[in-house]
Amino acid sequence: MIGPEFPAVLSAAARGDEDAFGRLWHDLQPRLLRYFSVVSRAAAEDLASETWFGVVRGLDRFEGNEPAFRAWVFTIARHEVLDWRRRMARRPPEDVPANGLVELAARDDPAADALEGLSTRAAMAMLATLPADQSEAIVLRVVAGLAVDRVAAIMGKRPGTVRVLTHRGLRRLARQLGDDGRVRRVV
Amino acid sequence: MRRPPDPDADPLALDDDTVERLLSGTLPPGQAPPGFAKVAELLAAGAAAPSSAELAGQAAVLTELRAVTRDGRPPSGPRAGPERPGGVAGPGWRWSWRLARW
Repeated sequence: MIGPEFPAVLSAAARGDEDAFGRLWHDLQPRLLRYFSVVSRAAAEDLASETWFGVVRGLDRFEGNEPAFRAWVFTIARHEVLDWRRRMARRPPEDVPANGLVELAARDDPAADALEGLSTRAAMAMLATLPADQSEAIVLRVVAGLAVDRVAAIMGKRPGTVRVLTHRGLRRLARQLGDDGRVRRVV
Repeated sequence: MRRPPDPDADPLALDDDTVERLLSGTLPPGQAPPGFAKVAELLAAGAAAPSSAELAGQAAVLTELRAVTRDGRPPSGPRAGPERPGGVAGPGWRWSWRLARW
């Protein structure tokens, strides 16, 4: 969070002040990467760059406080994810290398990472094992730091639904992790 | 008269306040409800300070910011213009549209 300086930082960034823009970057880029690592890991860096392109183009037209700005950025991010999924769905099956999928799946073993201790990367990998809506709701609450109503607006759901999704996701994580740190398979 | 505990109650049920504290990172793992210490730890890891790897690539974005603010903002709507050869240096960056003064 940037805090009370946010209005001045935003205004300066919109005028092209690189130091000010750097503060926005420092606050949001890690959050974006973590979000994408859960909802669209194969294209996380590319989607983050496309999101920033949208932010740069719309920066001088944005009006609002810091929570609203963060919600706006993640709205752009979600649109990038949806566009990317549509493009992937249209690709012929032979364009997706089977070896690449196996390599991608083997790169992160949530179970092994959980046993080694919870790094940020392991935490995101663990969240990615949840049903998509549950993981996205939790990531937008925890990583993006957004309130329930803003998460609901981004996901196109009611706030009550977002609460249910996060509750279910947290309980599922508890069952998977267990109190002793051993990962259990949840069916 | 106190009700006996419900044997069918979900041992992992959470009240709204506890959920909010978990999600906001204000619930230390040691104070989490039974079964949720590891979850609190996981969520704290997810909200941890950024690594240097996560902050890489800023230079490429600044290049785009300079182009947009120096040469005027593009019109809203679909991106226009031909693909330019080459592109912005840096890992994973793909810009399909650039402004140029020359």
